[in-house]
Amino acid sequence: MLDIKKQKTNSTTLLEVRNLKTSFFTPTGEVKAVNDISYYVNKKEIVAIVGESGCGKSVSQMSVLQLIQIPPGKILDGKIYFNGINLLEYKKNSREMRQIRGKDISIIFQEPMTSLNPVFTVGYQISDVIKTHMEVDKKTAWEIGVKSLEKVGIPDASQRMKYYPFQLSGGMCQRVMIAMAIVTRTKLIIADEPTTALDVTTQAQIMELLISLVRELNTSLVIVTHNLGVVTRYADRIYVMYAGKIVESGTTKDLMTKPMHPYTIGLLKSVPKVDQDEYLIPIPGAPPDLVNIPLQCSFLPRCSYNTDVCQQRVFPDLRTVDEKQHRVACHLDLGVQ
Amino acid sequence: MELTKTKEQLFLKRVRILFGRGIIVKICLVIILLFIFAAIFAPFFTTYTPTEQFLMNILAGPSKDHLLGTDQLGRDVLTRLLYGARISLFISLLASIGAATIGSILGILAGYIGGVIEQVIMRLTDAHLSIPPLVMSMVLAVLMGGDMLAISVVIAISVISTYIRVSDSLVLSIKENDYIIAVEQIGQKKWKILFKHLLPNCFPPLIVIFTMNLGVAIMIEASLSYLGLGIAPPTPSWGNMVADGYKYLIVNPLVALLPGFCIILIVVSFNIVGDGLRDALDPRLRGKL
Amino acid sequence: MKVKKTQNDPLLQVENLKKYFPFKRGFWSKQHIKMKAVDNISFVLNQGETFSLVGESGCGKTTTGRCVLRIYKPTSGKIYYNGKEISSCSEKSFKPFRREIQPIFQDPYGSLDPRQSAYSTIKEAVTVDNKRCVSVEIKDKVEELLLLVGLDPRMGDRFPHEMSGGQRQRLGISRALACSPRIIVCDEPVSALDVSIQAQIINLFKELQKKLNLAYLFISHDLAVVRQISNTIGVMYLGKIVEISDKKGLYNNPLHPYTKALLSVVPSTNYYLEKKKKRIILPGEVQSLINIPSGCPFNPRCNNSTEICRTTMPQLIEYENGHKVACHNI
Repeated sequence: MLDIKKQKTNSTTLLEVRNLKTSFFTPTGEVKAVNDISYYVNKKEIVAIVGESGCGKSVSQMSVLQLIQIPPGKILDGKIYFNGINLLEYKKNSREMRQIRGKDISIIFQEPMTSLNPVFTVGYQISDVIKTHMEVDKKTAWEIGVKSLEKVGIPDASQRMKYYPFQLSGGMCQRVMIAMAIVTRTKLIIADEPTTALDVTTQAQIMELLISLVRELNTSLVIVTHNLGVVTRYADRIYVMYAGKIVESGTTKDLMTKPMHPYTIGLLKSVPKVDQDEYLIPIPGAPPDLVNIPLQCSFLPRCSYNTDVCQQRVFPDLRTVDEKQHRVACHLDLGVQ
Repeated sequence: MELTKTKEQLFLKRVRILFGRGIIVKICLVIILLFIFAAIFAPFFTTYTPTEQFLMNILAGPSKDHLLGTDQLGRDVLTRLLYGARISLFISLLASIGAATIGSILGILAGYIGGVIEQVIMRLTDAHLSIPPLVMSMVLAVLMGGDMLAISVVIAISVISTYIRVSDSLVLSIKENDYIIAVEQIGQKKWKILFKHLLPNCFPPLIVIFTMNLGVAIMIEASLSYLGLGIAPPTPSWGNMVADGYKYLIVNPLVALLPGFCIILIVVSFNIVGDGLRDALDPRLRGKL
Repeated sequence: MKVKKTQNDPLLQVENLKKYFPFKRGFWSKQHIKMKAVDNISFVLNQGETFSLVGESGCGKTTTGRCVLRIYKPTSGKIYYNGKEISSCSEKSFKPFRREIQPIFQDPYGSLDPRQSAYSTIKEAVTVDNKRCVSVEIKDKVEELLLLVGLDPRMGDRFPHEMSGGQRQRLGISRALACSPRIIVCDEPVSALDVSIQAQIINLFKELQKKLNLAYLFISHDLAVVRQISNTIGVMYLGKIVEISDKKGLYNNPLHPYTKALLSVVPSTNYYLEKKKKRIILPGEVQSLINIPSGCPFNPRCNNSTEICRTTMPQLIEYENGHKVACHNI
């Protein structure tokens, strides 16, 4: 048995990630996908990690569960405290990690149709999860499965257990994934772009379902997405990522009403709004190459506030702006826009 | 002009990737090249002829005179392996090229034109595929005789259906791509679309199948010769060497095992190189994010 | 070719378009079911304007776009381009107009030949017609087209996989522009792009429309994007247009229950608005096109559905000033 040092934690913190670094070693060089990020999730909290493709948000979550493909990827550094224990002390395929995955921490992916095994029925897959983590027999597992499908709002649950994934719609499949996540009394659900592949009206249903379950079962939720609107509506706190680093963090209200990082400000100005005819101001340029990362702020080439200070200094640390834990990684002090 | 320079750069990059794919691919590529080299320059590697008999020295093990020993008629095994390589490689290359070219053309036309033509070609192919290749090649070999050209034709006919099937389905899937629709919309003529867009995108998978099929062709040739339906003795082919040699396994196993080993080695090498080729020919040039 | 003249001479006129796909249920079944992808829709598109078709997956908007491009042949109904009937005319008579209606696709990677460089892609579009062009003229024209969409001409020898999503989409637009089109059918052109790039491309679309007097048939599921670029919008559901209106009318005064629900669930970044907004969460899911409900196709999910909704299909009736809606209970 490994002698894991238990971290002295705040009793409300469920997950604390410190200085996580994950890179991918490719023929073109080392891709620093996650470049020293720290964040935390409290119990019963909904936290959002926002950013565009390539910013490292998905990789960071896969690192928490050690689902990174080991070559070419590698978790270089950092600590991931879950309920006080550093998960990175466990090996990737150890019994401890396998127990945590799917039971204490569950992950829901973007493509519901491909997250389920196409050659097994839905019922078989749910029962499988139940039997793996709870000591029950086949019949009981099936019954628990039916109840969990009912809980996620699938009509005719006992019939649907016998369906194959291709017979279900995208929304249904995502509900099944949620059912699989909650059935094991998960403490933390990580949802990686859970609604991107779904229709808008289905998106709303799935998000409402997820949020209501989370509140009812006292689970915490981490939503990883690029959709700022979804985040405004549902999240308690937000972390904004850019090029492998967290550039701004704080409560949803603070970030959406008083954004301070030029990237966040730029994103909010460039997102098309359904309630306004405002002219869009796009962020010029494109997300950066993660191989040759300059020492300065990685947003610099696209930043409209590009000053001498920014050119000369290295990447700014996250500094706290006010008492409510609004933090921003910027050399400048940008007020309300 | 900038454009042509890039094509060369691209080609070199691909070659580099093929070689960079890992030590195994490099080794197999070298093995194949060695075999080909040895086959072409066989007379330089041995002073004997493949049919020269040394009846005083039959089934001998490796010696100073005969590096790999002699067979049941006193013929030098090394010489026969080298000349046999010529036959086996030549036949399989000829058969594969023939099958690939004709099969691909038929399949691509079937997929692109569609309609009745496609139905006719594909149903004939289905019928053809229902006959096991070895059985078909046996029957054809009996009908057509045992010389090199005939055997090549026999093998080509046996494997052609794979190419027709694969290229038809390739064209069908590529046809659905948005860029083909876009090119049709800009008013490009149908035959130009076929040659400029469809064919080049069909090539990589077909080339890979080709390299893997080379191995199959060698196996069929070896099997035919083993069964006595292929290349007739005394002309050496790896297949008939195994056939002759297995009777003397106890006395001198090398006579049967060495040609068998050559067959295995080259078939495996073709397969591994085919794998490497697939990566190298991917326009996305694997490894670039 | 039949010619039809109307009063205002819209550039594109779609009348009672229907596209059904036959679908055989099971191998032994004699039942031929028709998948009614597009079921009797009509709209017009004027020069220099944008008409958007909005709806969720399976509503028929993409199929409509493909019928306009003549990728599909309509089951019935008529499409008029500049007064000329193009839905059922021969390939030969359509040929001179083919280049005037160009597509832009959703997937910027799939819409480019992976083995063709950027320069080669545009060159092909330019030289398809004018074989007599001198090579210097071609080079100039290609550079001009690349600059028009904001691409550096030095990127000419890059291949699609060496370009970002935004750059690929610009290249696709450039190829469409190479044909000097009058109508561009845009099928979800920004859905696959990153948020910060979407705005760039939307602005590019608007700029090009003004500069070149282009007409867009804009197909999207995103009501926020559509608001940025449209003049008139048609909301589709299960193959039918349920509401059609100019931009102001649709967003300020949505009438159809489906439109209202759609607008209420599009998440907004306006914090205070989001907290106050009343969301209409529709029950159930979008039905499959094989099992379209009788009467109004939306009735199983509608809060206000009454007896008549289940039996009779509502017609598109003008409510006010060009704002039409198909509902029994307005």
